[in-house]
Amino acid sequence: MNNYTLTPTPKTPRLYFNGQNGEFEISGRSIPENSIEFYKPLLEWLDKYIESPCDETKLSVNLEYFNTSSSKCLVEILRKLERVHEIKPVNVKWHYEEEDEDMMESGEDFKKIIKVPIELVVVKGDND
Amino acid sequence: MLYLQLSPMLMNISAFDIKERYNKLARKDTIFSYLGSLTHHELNHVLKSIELLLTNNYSSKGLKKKLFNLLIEITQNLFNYLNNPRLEDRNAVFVFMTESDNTYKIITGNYLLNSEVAGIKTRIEMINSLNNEELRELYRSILDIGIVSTAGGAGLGLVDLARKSGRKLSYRFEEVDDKFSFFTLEVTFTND
Repeated sequence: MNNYTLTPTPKTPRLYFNGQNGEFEISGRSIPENSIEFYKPLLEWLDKYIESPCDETKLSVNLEYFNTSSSKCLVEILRKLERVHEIKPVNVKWHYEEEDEDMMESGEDFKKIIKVPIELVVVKGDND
Repeated sequence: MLYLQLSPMLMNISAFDIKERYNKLARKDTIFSYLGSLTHHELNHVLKSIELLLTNNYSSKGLKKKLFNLLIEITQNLFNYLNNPRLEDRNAVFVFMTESDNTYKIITGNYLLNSEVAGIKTRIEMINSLNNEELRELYRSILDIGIVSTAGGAGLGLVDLARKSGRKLSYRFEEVDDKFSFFTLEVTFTND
C-alpha cells in the first residue's frame, strides 16, 4: 500500500503514514480553520489501510498546538485505528511537553474515549 | 422652521460604535489590540503578531502556550462565525489582550443576530455553572461525537475556553438595532 505523507506548514502538521511498515506520525501544529477539509484525504487513506493493515501499527502524535476542530478529526483518526486494533495490534504514543498541561489533559481525554492503548510520553523542556 | 426627527432605529445605530467601544477598552495594561474585519489574511496576521509578542516577552513556555492556545481558539471561533452571510456588513471585530498582576484577559467583540443571543447566553450560563470536573466530562462527551455534528467547532470552542482558562466566561450583549446585537466575550487566565 502507498504511503500518505504531507509536509508541515505553519498551521498544519507533518503527516507521515507508512502503509508498508505501519509507522504513522502526526507532528507540529494542527490549527487550520477548516480541519475537516485538511484531514479528509487522510481519513480516506485510513479506510483503505483498515482493509489490510500491517502486523503492527504505531502512531506517534507530537503536537505543539491543535485547535478544537482538529481534535474532532483526531477522534476520527483514532476511531479508524480502533477498527485496525480489532484485528492487529495498535499503539499510540501521545507526546506532550513538560510545561504543557493542556496537551497532557488532551492525551487523557483521548485515552478515556478511544479503545486503543494510548501511552502519554512526557518530553523534557529545552529551557529556552 | 423644519425639525429633523431621527427615527428610533437610526438613533440606536448611531448610539453604538465599535470604534468607541474599542477606544474605551484600550488601557495601560493592554499588550495587544486589533480592530477590523477578520478575513483569512487578517486572522493570520493577528495570530502571527500575537505569537511574536508572546515569544519575545514571555520566558515561560507553559504560559506562552496557554495564552496562544486560548487566542487560537477565540480568534478562530470569531473567524468561523463571521462566515455567516446573515451578518451582512457587520463584520468588524476587536481582539484585546491585557496583562495585570499575572492575570491575563482576552477580550473580543463582534456583532451577531438578535435571534442568536438567547442561545449563546444559555450556553455560556450552562458552561459557567459547571465545575472543572463537569467541564471535562462535557468536553469529552462532545469530543466523543467526532465530526458528525455540523455545528462546526463552536460547540467545543466555548467549553475549551472555559476549561483551559480555569475561570468563568464573562460576557455582555448589547442590542444595536432591531436586527443586530454586539457581543463582548472575556476570557481570563491567572498564572499562578
